[in-house]
Amino acid sequence: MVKYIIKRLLISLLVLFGVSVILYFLVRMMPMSYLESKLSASMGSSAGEVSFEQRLQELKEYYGLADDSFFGICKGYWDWLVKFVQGDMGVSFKYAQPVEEVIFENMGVSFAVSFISLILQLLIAIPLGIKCACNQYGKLDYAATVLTMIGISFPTFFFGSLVIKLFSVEFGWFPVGGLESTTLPMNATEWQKFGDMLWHLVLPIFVLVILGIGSMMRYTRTNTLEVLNADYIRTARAKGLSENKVVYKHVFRNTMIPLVTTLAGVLPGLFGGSMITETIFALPGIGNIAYTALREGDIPFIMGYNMFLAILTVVGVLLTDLMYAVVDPRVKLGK
Amino acid sequence: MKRTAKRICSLALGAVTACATVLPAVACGNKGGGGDTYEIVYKNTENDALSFGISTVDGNFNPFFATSASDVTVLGQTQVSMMTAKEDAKGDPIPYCGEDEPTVALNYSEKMLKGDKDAVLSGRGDETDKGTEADYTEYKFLIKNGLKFSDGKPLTIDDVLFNLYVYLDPMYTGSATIYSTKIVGLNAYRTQDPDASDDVISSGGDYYAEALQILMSFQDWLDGETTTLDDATGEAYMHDLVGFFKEDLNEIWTASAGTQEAYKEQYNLTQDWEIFFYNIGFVQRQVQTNANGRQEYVKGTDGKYLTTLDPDVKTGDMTTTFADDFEAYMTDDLVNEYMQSENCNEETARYELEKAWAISYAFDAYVTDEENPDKSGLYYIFTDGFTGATMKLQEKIEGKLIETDGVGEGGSAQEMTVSSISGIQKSTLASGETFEGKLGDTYLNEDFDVLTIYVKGVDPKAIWNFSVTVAPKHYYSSEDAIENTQFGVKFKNQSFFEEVLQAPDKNKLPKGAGAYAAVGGADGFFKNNVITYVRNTHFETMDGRNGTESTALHNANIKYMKYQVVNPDKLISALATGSVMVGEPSASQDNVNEVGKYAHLGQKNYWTNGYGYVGINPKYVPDIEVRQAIMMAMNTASIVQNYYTPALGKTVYRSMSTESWAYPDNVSGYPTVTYNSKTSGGKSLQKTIESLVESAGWRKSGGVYAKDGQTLKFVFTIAGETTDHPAYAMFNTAAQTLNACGFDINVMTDPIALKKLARGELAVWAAAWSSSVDPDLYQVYHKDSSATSVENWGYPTILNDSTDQFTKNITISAGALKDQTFAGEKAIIDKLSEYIELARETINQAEREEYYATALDLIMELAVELPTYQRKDLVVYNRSIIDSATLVQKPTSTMGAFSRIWEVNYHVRPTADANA
Repeated sequence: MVKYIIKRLLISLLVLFGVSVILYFLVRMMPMSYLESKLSASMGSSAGEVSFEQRLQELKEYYGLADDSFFGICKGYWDWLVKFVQGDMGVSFKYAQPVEEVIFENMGVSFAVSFISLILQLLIAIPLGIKCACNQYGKLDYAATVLTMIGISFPTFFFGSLVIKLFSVEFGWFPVGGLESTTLPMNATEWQKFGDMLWHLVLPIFVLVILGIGSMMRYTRTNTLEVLNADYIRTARAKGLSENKVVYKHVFRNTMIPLVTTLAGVLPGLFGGSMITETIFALPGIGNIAYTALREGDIPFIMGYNMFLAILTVVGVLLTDLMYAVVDPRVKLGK
Repeated sequence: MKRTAKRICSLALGAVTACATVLPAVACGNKGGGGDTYEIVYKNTENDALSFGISTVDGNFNPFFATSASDVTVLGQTQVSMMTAKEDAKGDPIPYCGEDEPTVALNYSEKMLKGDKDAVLSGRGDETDKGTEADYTEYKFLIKNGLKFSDGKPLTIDDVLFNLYVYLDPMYTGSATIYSTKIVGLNAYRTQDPDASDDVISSGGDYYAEALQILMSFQDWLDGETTTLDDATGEAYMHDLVGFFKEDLNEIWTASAGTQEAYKEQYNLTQDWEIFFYNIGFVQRQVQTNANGRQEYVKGTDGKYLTTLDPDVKTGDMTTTFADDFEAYMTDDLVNEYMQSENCNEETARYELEKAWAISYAFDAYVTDEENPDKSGLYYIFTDGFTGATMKLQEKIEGKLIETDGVGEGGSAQEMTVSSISGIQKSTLASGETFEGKLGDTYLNEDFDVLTIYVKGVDPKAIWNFSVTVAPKHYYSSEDAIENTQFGVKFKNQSFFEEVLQAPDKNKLPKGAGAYAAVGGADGFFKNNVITYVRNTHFETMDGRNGTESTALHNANIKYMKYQVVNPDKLISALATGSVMVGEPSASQDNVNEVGKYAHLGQKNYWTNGYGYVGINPKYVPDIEVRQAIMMAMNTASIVQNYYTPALGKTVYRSMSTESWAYPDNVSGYPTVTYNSKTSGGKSLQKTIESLVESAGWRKSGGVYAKDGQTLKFVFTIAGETTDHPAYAMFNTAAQTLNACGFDINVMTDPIALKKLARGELAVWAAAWSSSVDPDLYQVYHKDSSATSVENWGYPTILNDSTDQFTKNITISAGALKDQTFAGEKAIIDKLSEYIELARETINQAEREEYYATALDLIMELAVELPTYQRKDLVVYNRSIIDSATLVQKPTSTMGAFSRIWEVNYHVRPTADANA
């Protein structure tokens, strides 16, 4: 097992290296860079004192991006890699702070929203999936399937805007966005502030849950149907066990095997943020921050953030494989 | 069962469809009620924060280095400036300061002086009121006494100097451009060369620009003009240039030889030397005047262009002797001799001899004696466009500068040769004296510090450049720098600029003397997308009265203020629901209508400084008539009618913001380019366009205009990602009109249009200018400007004759030809440049206004920029909470509704209510 993990970790390093090379070259080859967009916005809209090319060259040299040749990019990549290995992700052009600081400062909100959403999704989707499977082609099954398919099909930006318009603007139940109210009195207690924060999280979590239930519910339903047709279930029923016992003791546990393994794969999603939802609700999460940085070509941030996601993905995949061995005794690792 | 299931499915789908359609409709319903009635809500000024909605904030709140508009707005609340802008009686913006303004200066003066540098710097210069006579301009700023930053520490002239020296340091990479002002001694300071000229804008650590300036000086030296370059250096550069010129000719030969295939369809150039001569401009296409009085390239009976290697089309005589010279040179004896000496075949011998002859011919035309070259000949290497040679020389100079510069690389400290800028002086005016300023005389009842800045010549916009914010030295500098340097700035020191000035905590937490102070520390000021301030209790000192007899300046009425980041699409919703109290949604009619639905929302609008325009680059549309035709097809009035509505926008007729003091009064459409569906001669628009295009020699073939194998195929580019752009509909209509005439126009959006624009890569585009307070047409339209905009107006094409759409594949084209093609544009640009220079030679606003009026007409004549619209900005606020009477009543582009933020207040509960 240990040997297997070490082997996988070494392969993961190779994968990460490959990912970083592809990422760096892609980022450097983007048609628009942060420096150019900033400069063209300022110089394109008002008369510059010096020429665009001259100023751009100055800035590129300042940021070590002056050489766009293959070897120049290779050198740039090497410089980045050396720093990255030492734990230095560089300073974000846009946020003027070390990338790792920006990521870790903004990760908390994203994690909270994603984690709570995930728990709620599990709490709703799994029982619903099992129930639907047990009542295959029944009223509940059809109703849940249709609704969840609609949930899957709704674009986040549309559903988010709809929810804001309805629950915030019209009913006035929840705030339009953000994480805290500017209208909260300055002498509010910590509990009031905490309550205010939860109040702000209701709608984004609602959106994530509604849009996320579908796939998990369908997955549970399919797994459950598979388990329901297994021989040991037939045996359990033949033993004269009650249907509840069959479902919640034998079916449920076996359904969980593939589900548990998928949970490891949600790791990047938990920490990486939800770009569109966070942007719509103006949440100060890492997804929102990354969206802006990606749009503007902030090279250090794009590299740092994507490598962060890559590491989480690699770890997630590794955990998935390990989870198989943990939850299913038939799976042996290390051979 | 099946039927039930189907029914359920149908019902569920129906319900969802209904939700998706009805809910938004319901949601869009008028819940606010509209009308004029709303309930007053009383807020506590000491506990309830005044909240603003703002779009994405980057979080870099460093006053020296912040770039995004949102960051600048956020940090602006914590800062004060040397000067501010105010509108005069005519409504024109003027520089302003005084007791009732949160400015560091109490009064200022501006004088034009005659005399030499020493006399002027020591205060012995003679005053003059004629810009043409002035050698220097002197600016004096009377600094208020008793000012304090928000932390209670005094704001003095030393803080002002610290800020100036940061902005003027060669290591400064922020967006302030005060370094472009010709401050006396600035160049000497930045280059650490006491003899450096004040005439050029200093480049400091910018080796590229420095090398370019030296190259320009060298060019002047070759031309016998006055220059700062000494003879020894000039001689050395001259020999370098000769070497590079030879290399350049060799490179052009290599690029030309064997390319007959590329020329054979249009030219009778069959030999390598002919193509080489064509590419260096020795051989040109022949030109003649057509029936419309325009210059045209002449074609022979075989449909190919006639060149100066052919007999002259008018006289039948040969105008060059190249062919004869070559024939006389390339004798069989010479070839045989070469074959023997080099042991090669005849083909190689002929090629090498032809190459040697051609290069030597060209070389000798410019360099008479390689050892002792003639200066005047070499000068033409610059003007005839041998860019390869001049670029190589510039690179060599740049390399030398980097090599010899001992500082910058590691940011190491150095012994300073020039320790300060001679044109920036600090002095004290004693109590009892009177300061004679632009804002009247100020009688001094105590000692006052005075900041004096001397500028070379006259620079009307310099005063605006000096309106910098004044950030605290004790916070942004370091103890080490304050103790060991004169101004608290380590000269050209990279680590000081990166690690001290831009330390992460300083980027996150701004500090200054503004009406509000940042709270929450570096990690708490901007947290959870909310920015929080508290009242600066020292702001009242900004009146300069040391806390006595407070005038219009007092501490903010509302103790706390916040900015909340709100998605721009959701800003009106946030305002409607009370999530924020103030916001600035875009000023579209839809937004105005939406705001109007909510009775508790008040709104104010004011004209912005910028304006929209359509640009046409002569590099891609060389015929002025075609440019005029394209402009004529643009119904600029439709933008205001359809996109902004007359309440929020107006049509602009000259290339300047109507908010500028220099925008001429009562102007309307310019005759040669203005859209008119029924033109004056009774001709339809289409007919007018067609006759314009045909006067430029274009003829219809199969319904499409063609000339010299080219068609009028252009892309109209909308800068941005979406078609939701003011000019989109206008472009489409214009494209239809033009296509009906015989053009081939496509309208496209382009998210990277600004990048292309910055490189002069767009043919026709719609964008907008953001104007500065003072109009300075120099950068945008003067022939010597190095700004990007002139590339978009095709200046390099027009003035340097480097490229046109018919000779794109040729690296170096013939100068004389383009002189004739763009003769009209050249004349306009020369005249325009003259007027721009005249306007820059005076600080008299009325005089400048007249020059600008003529200059603006000339710009319209040039037909490269069609001004389209000017729009308004919109500010929306919660009037049930905020007392409208405490806002700026008539906001303008220079003073917004919430500019005097310290005066803003909530509704005050009537006394009887309060007692209750």
